[in-house]
Amino acid sequence: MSMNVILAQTVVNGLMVGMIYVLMAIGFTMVFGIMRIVNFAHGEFYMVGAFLFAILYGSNEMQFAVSVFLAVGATALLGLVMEWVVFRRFRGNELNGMIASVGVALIIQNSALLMWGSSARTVPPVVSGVLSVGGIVFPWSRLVVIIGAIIAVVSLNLLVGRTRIGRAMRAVAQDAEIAQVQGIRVDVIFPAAFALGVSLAAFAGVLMAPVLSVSPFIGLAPTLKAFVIVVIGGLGSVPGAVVGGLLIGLIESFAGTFVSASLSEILQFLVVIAVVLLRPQGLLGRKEREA
Amino acid sequence: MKSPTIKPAQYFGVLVAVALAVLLPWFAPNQFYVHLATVGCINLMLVLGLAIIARAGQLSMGHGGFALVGGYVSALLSMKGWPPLLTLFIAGLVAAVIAAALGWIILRLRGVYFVLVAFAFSQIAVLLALDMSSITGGANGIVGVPPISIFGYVLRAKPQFYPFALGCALATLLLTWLLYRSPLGTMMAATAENQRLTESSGIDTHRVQVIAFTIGSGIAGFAGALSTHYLRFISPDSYTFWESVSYLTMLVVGGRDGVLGPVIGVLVLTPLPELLRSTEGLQHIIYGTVLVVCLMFVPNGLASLVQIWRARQRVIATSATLVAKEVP
Amino acid sequence: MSMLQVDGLKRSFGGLVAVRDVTFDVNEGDFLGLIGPNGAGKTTLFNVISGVLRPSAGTVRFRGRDISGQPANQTVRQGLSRTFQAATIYPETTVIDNVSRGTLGAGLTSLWGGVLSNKWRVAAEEKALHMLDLLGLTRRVDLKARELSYGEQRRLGVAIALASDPRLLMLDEPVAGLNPEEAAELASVLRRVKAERGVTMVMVEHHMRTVMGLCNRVVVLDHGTLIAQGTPADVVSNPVVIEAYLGKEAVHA
Repeated sequence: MSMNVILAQTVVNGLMVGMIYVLMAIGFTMVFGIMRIVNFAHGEFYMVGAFLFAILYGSNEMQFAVSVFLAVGATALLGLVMEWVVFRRFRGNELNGMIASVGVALIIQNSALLMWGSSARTVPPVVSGVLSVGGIVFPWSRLVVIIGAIIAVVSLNLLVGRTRIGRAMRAVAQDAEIAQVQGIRVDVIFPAAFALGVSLAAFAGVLMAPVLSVSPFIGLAPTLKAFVIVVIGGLGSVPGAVVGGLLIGLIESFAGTFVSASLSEILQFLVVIAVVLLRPQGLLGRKEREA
Repeated sequence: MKSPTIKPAQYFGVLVAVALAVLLPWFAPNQFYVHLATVGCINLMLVLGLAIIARAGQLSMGHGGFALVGGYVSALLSMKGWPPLLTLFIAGLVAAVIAAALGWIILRLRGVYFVLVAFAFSQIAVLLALDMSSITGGANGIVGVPPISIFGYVLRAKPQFYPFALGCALATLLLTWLLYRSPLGTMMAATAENQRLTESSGIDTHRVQVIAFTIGSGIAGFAGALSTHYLRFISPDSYTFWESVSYLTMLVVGGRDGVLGPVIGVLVLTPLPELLRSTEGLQHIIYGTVLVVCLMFVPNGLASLVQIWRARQRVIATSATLVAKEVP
Repeated sequence: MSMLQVDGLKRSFGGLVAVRDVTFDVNEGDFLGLIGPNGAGKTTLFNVISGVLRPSAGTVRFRGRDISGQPANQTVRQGLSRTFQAATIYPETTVIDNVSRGTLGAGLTSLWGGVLSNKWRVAAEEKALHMLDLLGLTRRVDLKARELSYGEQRRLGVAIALASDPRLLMLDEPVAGLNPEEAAELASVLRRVKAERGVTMVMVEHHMRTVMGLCNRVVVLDHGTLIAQGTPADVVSNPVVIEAYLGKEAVHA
């Protein structure tokens, strides 16, 4: 294989992985930005989305679009239930809310284990075949992930930037008290934001299900990645999540291809430490104002 | 600073509890209970370490990572011929040094960022243990870790280990209790309760938090090493996210405030995984549910219920004397 | 003797200049009032001097030493202490422990001492009781701080700040939110504290009656600039000052 081919494929892999990380990170940072919750269970919604898609599309051979819709929708519903039963009680108590999310993660992960077993499942790829460009070959299965993720991010951007509810979410993220005084119904915004964040994670799971295998344990790694990216990009910053996600995806791909997997992890961790030392609020984050 | 003068009743209670713990091997129905008690002692040390960090207002989701590091350091050094009794302390020291460096960098951050990076550290530790297989044995871990020998007496069989583990646990308990009563312990509590006010009283709260993180993580390293020489084995699976969560649960359920909380949390939750080992998934679900329910309804832990009960008794006693005075 | 020398102090936030080239002195024994219309930059100036914010330019010298940009915990150890407007106490802790905690930073006890003996605690509590007596909180000693009335909590905040034995005490709007009786009580307490302990004081305040009653010198800020300084009587009749206030809102008498 020539260097060009290897480079190109490393870049594509990096972008693919990076875009998935972006989806995970955006969902996570949105929930934190609006609700001030660090959700340790974030990756578990990714896992549930992937599993439901695997069951609907893979095992039951439902239509692709229907499967996606149902998988994401059901996971969003699960998220709403979690918000209502658990996280609602911890509004204003960041620390306890975070610990509670750890408990929720355990519950979701092991419920999946009990219901669906621990063995990994595979899902047939949505599109097969390859795309040939200038002698370099890109599998469609990976390109689909990138395209799907970009569509999701652009839609989210439109939603947050152009719609009323998006404006309301941004207002709440800036200052929940003032937003409430202005008439924004925080009791509607919070669940909506949480469902949205969770849907992004579920969609990421759906996209990745054909690429990697699906098991109850696939949730922890994306959670960790989301954390790392959000620290780098800045808690609460969506552009930061995009930059951070792509950066981490590319580092992972390049380090993994040219050096080793463990060095790639250490390198990412060092990047986090460097950002924390040099720019504690994240690359695109806002400095916290004095109370 | 609750009045630190210990009432005779409390002295007596503590002595009885310690005596029971010491005499356990004699009236335990079988070896399984002694094993459980040993695991409990090690858990107690880990939870106390977490409690010390929590006292200064920070939450370490990376606690398991330090235990893992300590375990591997002690295993590797003792297999090279170093006496395990020494490597135990070296393991604790190594963990403390890493915590000091890491803590100094990341404790400047808002609490949330600190938690995320500490968590990332524990995951890195596991990944390194898996990947550096030439040193660590990879996924298979290290088998045949040398047992601890004290003055020539080798703790080879599992039941022999219990008195040593108990001794370490009690020592840690004493250390934590003394720390809490000291000026440093008070500064930690002040930092947790109102960091800005503590800063303006002339206390470098960042330094206080780093010290708490260092001590707590060092204890975790020591406990991890202790466990390694007990089980004579360590692997990347020994301290995963699940372990960090279980120590956190024990702390939350027991109570974050004093030394009683960790003891209660360990007593209540240690038997659970061992008894439910057959259905691992269910066990974790129960743990997660216990954690969430406890946070919702008893956020200050079971130890706080004891305080509430005691306060109520005082009110009843006071009103009883008042009523008695009214009646001619 | 000059206790505090503020020289050419400037603080900006992005494009906004909150404090612009402010210079003034505080002498030992002064009770300096820092006043000005809303938005004049008083609180920012306060925060820069006490170490909560760093200056963009200029220096702050305390008892001859340059303390510009030092973090708050260091300025306190030099002898410069302050109170806050909000979140000013340890709510779940007893009143006496609140003040005892205030003694810890002042070098009475080293970080590592006191593990095995109780002497430090006895000494701290003794000091705390004395402070609480001075501030009229003796009857509240064993209550949790959150059980105190608002006025009492303010006094507790002053007690905590005094516990570190400062040479200069900075008070951030001490009577804000207090009713007239509580305000008068706090004012007389401050007068007593100053007389007994010889602490120099600097106060940011809107409440004119309190300022007139307590301060021997007043410094007036408007739009971040120092527009007047002198005795309270001088300043109140200064046409520049009157214009600055009348242009904004009515002065609270």
